[in-house]
Amino acid sequence: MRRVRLPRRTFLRGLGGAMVGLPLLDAMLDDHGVALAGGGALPSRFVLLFGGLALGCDSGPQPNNVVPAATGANYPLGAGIAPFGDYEDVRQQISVVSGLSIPCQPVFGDPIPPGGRGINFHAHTNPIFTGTANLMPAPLESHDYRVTNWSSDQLVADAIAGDTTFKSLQYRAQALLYNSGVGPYYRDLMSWRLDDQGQPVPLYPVASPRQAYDTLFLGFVPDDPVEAAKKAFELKKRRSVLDLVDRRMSGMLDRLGSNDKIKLEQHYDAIRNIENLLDNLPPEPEGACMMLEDPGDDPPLGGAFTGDDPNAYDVNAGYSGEETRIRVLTDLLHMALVCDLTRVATFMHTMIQSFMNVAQITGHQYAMHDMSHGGQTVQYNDVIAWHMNHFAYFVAKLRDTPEGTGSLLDNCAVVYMMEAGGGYGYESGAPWAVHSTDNMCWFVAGGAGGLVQGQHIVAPANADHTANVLISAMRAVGVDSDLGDVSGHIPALFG
Amino acid sequence: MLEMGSMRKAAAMARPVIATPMVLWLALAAAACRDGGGKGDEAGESGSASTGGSGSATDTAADSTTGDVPPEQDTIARVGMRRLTRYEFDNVVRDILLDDSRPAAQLLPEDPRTPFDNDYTLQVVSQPLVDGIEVLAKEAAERLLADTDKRDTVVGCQPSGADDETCMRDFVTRFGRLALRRPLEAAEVDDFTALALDYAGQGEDFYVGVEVVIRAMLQDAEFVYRIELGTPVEDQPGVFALSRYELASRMSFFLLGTTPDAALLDAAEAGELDTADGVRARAQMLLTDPRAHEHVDRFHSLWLGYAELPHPQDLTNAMRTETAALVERVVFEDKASWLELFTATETYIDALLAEQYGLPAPADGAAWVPYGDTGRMGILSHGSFLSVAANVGDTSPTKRGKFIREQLMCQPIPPPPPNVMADNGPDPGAAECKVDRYQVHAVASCAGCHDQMDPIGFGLENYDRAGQFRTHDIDNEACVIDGEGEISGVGTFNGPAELSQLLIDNDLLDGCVTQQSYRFALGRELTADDAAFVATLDEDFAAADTRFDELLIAVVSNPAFAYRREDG
Repeated sequence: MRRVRLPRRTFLRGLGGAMVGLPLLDAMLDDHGVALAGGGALPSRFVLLFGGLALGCDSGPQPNNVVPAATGANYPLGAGIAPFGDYEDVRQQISVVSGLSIPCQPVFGDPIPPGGRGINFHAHTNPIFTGTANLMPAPLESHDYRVTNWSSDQLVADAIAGDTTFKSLQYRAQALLYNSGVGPYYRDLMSWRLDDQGQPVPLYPVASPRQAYDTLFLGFVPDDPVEAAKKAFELKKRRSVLDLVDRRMSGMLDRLGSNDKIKLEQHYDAIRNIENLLDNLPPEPEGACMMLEDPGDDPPLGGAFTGDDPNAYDVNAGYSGEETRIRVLTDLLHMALVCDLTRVATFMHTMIQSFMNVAQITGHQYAMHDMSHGGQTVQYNDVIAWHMNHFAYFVAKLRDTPEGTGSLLDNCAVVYMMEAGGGYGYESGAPWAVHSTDNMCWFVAGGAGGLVQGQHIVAPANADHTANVLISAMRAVGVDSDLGDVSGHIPALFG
Repeated sequence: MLEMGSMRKAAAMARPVIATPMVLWLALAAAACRDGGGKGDEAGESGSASTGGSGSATDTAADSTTGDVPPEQDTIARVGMRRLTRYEFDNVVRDILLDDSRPAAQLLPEDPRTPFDNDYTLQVVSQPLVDGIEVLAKEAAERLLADTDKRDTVVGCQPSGADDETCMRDFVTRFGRLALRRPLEAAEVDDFTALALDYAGQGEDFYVGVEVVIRAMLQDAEFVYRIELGTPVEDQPGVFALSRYELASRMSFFLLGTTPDAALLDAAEAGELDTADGVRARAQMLLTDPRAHEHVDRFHSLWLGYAELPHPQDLTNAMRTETAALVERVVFEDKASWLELFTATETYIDALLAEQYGLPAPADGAAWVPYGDTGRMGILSHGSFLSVAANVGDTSPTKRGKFIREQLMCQPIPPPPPNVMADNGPDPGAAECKVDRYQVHAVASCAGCHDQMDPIGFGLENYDRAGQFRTHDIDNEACVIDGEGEISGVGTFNGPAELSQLLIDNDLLDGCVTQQSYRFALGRELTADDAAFVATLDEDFAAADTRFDELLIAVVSNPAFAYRREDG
């Protein structure tokens, strides 16, 4: 199939007017600061964060100290969520929803319940992100639990992205898989859009902070006229180089067999995406929207790591400076929201079945996955708290950013998703397992759509699907929809 | 210990009960377990036949390899477009830009391991990949221009000014041939030169023009991908004869892990690769290149899983050095039978590894130390090999057995049923001693497969997950490890030396390494369609006294290696 080339925009940035998004300047707001001067409401933002591996909640003999011991406001902070007490008690902005589950087929071979998963832990990508039941793999032993639907962020982006530069952003802090010998199960992804035929297409996250930085501030013009001219020349060069690459690649497409052609077309589309971005530069930062300091080169990538023996351990393997990466990416994501460069984002802190080495960030010489299996429950709280600290930092930053007469957080719905819970082990038959999707708990922050803040809400034991939290967040940003097989929001999240 | 002669294949020796390894590998896993419960699924293989070409090649026939012997139809392999792996990308940047900073390892997404890193059926295109290549191209060009010596070498001429068209054209022609692995057509040279001169003028600097050429070339479809267009073969729909340059690329990436250099492209241009003898002669030359030695080491480290090891850096380095030294000695110094990897009676270790193995330390640095009667022999005694396929905290007899079955014997075991958590061994509370705990696998529904794996692993159980000898279970002296093992249907053994001998005596290794090499050469899993080629490789390997260098040469000099069957 011959691709139609999109016409190039010939106007310069600035002459395009409404073609590019602009940060929300005070001048654009009405007198009360709660709506746009033109009468439209302030835009809502939808952000999903994800922590991988058994960042579970407790119901078993080895409590993780994640689920607060009391419900309601001012809930007590166990070790796993202790960072919520920091940042001027950001707990007041974060609601805990516990008692969630992703239903599992009771016995392998049984039908998979709606929105549910098959018996194969770490392979519940489809229910967790799209609310859609795994298909039974064919053949069964293939472990092929593919994603069959779009994820909530893409459903939301279709509805609320407007004319922002980036319809959605995908970031990931964990730089590498670190153990590529383990089946992928899409461990490194959390966003899928639907193509023209309604088929899910993965959106690969940016894992390089520097690349994320370069893209976000592409339209920035340095004050120094010499530097400004240099940057303009560089952008021009990029356009010309890509134009040649594009022409040659497009000429190659028709010379290829069908499989190869599909692959090269995908590559060609990605080249076109860069060209389109260069032709529609993100707006230059103004006002509260600021260009951040250049993060410099990314921390070096660490090698694969599969060991756990404290006596035989290389603390540098399996770790790529994620502490730095997560902070830079969090700051970039925050600024992308401030600048209204995007209204929808997903940010994977750590991957599904994460093998990241936590020695440098917690002092415990383990890969996350191995640690979760090793009976290190108390120490594992430190790993959970590491994730929660970065979540708390992000929420506090949104809270402390004025927008209109309130804060940026007021216009956000942020959900922190965890891969697992703690409860019956469908795989092992154990009454309590860290690899379980029973007794899950997720976190919600933001005031969009009247979301309540700072409450511990208990879903009726395992009756609410985690997707009900996503549906609530979708509703908060004005998107009333089911998600996959799951319908209904959690009323308590709206007071 | 072992007499050299016993390593030779004994034609009269009875074949093992199990059918030839290749048949099992190619027929997938069903036969590997008595009670397997269904076929495994080879990732990425649709199994569907090629649907034939659609006139996709427009190259002239003039430069295609004719070959002095036409290949057998059924030996021509299906091969699709392959993206340079991160490793290859970095090698190419090193070789054509004299830049050993290995930027792809930092900027591009990981390649999945199968265990090899070059399975094109698993390669996905993503925006971060394409963005990363753009950044890489820009920075590689900047690094080159910042180093005037390297710059002048790569550019190859001294420009008289920013508008020196002759020098620019010269550079585009020469660099383009290296980057795109074929001579550029005149119109292509015009295109790149026009862009370069435009920017040299705007920047008032010849080298701004050089920069844009490098940036465009490194993002070019034909740089990023190994695209084989070839020439359609008459009356054979979907079959293409590779051009000489495409064959040169196949040889170079397989033997050296990198792009063909100017000398190899010259040889191709001169028609030296048009005959099997010519290819053979050139392959022999390539194998003297240090990059070939490194690549052979890397092939083994990927295949046997020890490319990364879960140990402190000094121990990891010592283990990698040990195994690399053995591979180098057997394959390149001694040009001995590849099976000597498994029968070496001494090993190259330093004091750290000597202590790890309980061997006398060399006086100074690293040296070859005899194993004596320690029960160790060859690569299966190395810490590198013994470190792979372990569980959390201890060895896994199941995973070791599976690893040996699948990787060394080419007999796939189906994945565990989805209701089995393979992360851990059997429940630690089930019995005091590990060997008894594994009796949980003795029930009918498990035994079919586990009998093929666990007894192999228990034969190595005296060696822990860092290659250290031990006499009992971890923290339990009451549980004495007897080290008795068995390859079900083949024979019993105790420890790595006896395991190696058993594998060799039953011809289980040589029929597998041919498949693994061919798999690495094609960049995908093998299927039943590849059986004919592998059969010829088996013959060639045997005829060459099972020398590994000869196996590599046999792959590239096979007439079918100069052809391609369209993938889909």
